[in-house]
Amino acid sequence: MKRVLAIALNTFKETVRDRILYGLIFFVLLVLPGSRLVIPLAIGQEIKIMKDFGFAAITLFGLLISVVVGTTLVFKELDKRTIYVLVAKPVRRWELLLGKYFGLMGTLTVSFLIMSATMTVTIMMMGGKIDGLLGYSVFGIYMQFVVITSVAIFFSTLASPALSAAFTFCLFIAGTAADQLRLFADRMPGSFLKVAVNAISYLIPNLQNCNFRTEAVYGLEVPLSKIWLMTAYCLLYTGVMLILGSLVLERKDLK
Amino acid sequence: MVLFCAAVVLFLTIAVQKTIDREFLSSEQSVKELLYFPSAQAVKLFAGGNEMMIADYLWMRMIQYYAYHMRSDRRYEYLYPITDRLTDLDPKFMYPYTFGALLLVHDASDSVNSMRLLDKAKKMNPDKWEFPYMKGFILYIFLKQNDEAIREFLEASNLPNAWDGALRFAAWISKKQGQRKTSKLMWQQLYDKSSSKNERDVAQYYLDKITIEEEIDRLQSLAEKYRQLHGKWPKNLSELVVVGLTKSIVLDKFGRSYYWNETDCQVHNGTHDRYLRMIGKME
Repeated sequence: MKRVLAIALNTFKETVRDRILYGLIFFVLLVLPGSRLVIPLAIGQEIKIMKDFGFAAITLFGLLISVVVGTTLVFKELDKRTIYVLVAKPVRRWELLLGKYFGLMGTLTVSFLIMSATMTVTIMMMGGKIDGLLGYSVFGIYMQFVVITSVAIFFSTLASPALSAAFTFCLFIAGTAADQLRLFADRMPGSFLKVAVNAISYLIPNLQNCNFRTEAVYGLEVPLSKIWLMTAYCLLYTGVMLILGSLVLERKDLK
Repeated sequence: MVLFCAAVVLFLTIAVQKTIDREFLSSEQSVKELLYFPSAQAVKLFAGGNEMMIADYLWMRMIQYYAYHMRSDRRYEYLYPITDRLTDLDPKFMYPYTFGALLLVHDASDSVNSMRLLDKAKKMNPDKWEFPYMKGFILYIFLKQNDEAIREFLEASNLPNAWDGALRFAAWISKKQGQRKTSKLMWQQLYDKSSSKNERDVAQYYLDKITIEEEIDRLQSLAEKYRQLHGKWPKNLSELVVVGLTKSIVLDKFGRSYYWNETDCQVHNGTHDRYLRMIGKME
């Protein structure tokens, strides 16, 4: 575990230096004055639109960080051959992968805290109500990126950054529509197609589980059991991705 | 030199864009583009969970569209399609339904789509009293369809957290129509449901008024029967008791009597007379 933590800490420092903070500053500057621009157009719906805009912005920036940084983390080590130094330490390959993942998650966590604090302050300044539902929604988005980051890192063990980014992005889009896939499966002709589409819908990460925006915006109830189940699902899926990534890395010929 | 060329080319690009905007971009044009907006289903597939924000964008475009046409030609052909699209994306966004329905009937004279929008609202949000209430309001105020309005107000009044006004309106409309029985039921329901003493007093007032009117009607029909039997109107209501048409003539709840007016050959009541004087229907 000490090795994993050491790599994680190093990755955290590396990703922060990777100009991510500039993106966050841009976010803060975008959201706060941007919200003021919305007011004349919103006709009494300022708080709702601010929440929707805030959630979308957090999702966008979170996706950018996960995909752009996550897909290059392991690839960079492989490409620059710095992985040899680490493996000779000795650091096991799965420890390297885990360390990279936790390091990036550290950066994402700090980013999420800053972005959600910015959104909360903006909503308060506009006179909106801050309640637990807002927290659930932001937590849901965060858990989406716990999963997506693991997916990005998995793909980075397989392919180049460009391809990994494309695959991760596609899986993100598919993941937000996973339950719709199951609806389509029901309408498929033939049982084989039904089973195949259904299977795919279960294999891709169901990120819709993490979507509590409607509840946060309209003040609807969220059962606590749903939060627990969503968290368990995301952690399990992340585990699968990290295990697969470790397997790929273990079998990779580093020569 | 290179920078100067870049600046010139940029300037020309902006100039061309301004020309395009002047020639082709109008509120109408930008809204027509929205009609080529993919279906809500397709948008939801690719929106990455951000369909509510896209709905907000459509909401702001709808407001701009309305404001533009309100100041110019007052034609709102695309008002319903935009509202329909945005409520497909965010079915719980209440304001477009109610505001949109009102604009459609009031400004666009499009009652059909106004009702269609509210029916959709009710279907997507069955526990929201605001939608049947708004439908009832529009049916009564704009479309003069009182029976349907009453049904909608009653439906609204039975939904959670409903404003008591829905039931009051339903009762008031029924009473105005002479649908006294329905009105009495509605006032009774309001009386039973309300936690406010003032509201119960108002409901009780109308219940007493209806009871008096019912008794007036009953006695009037007995007087008519008397006339058919004896060929003349009674001189007073006691005669109805004497001939056995009724057991007794009771006083109303406030201790005032029912009496026969020989001038207009109608049954009257002291309390009811006071009410009619109050509203200027009696001297």
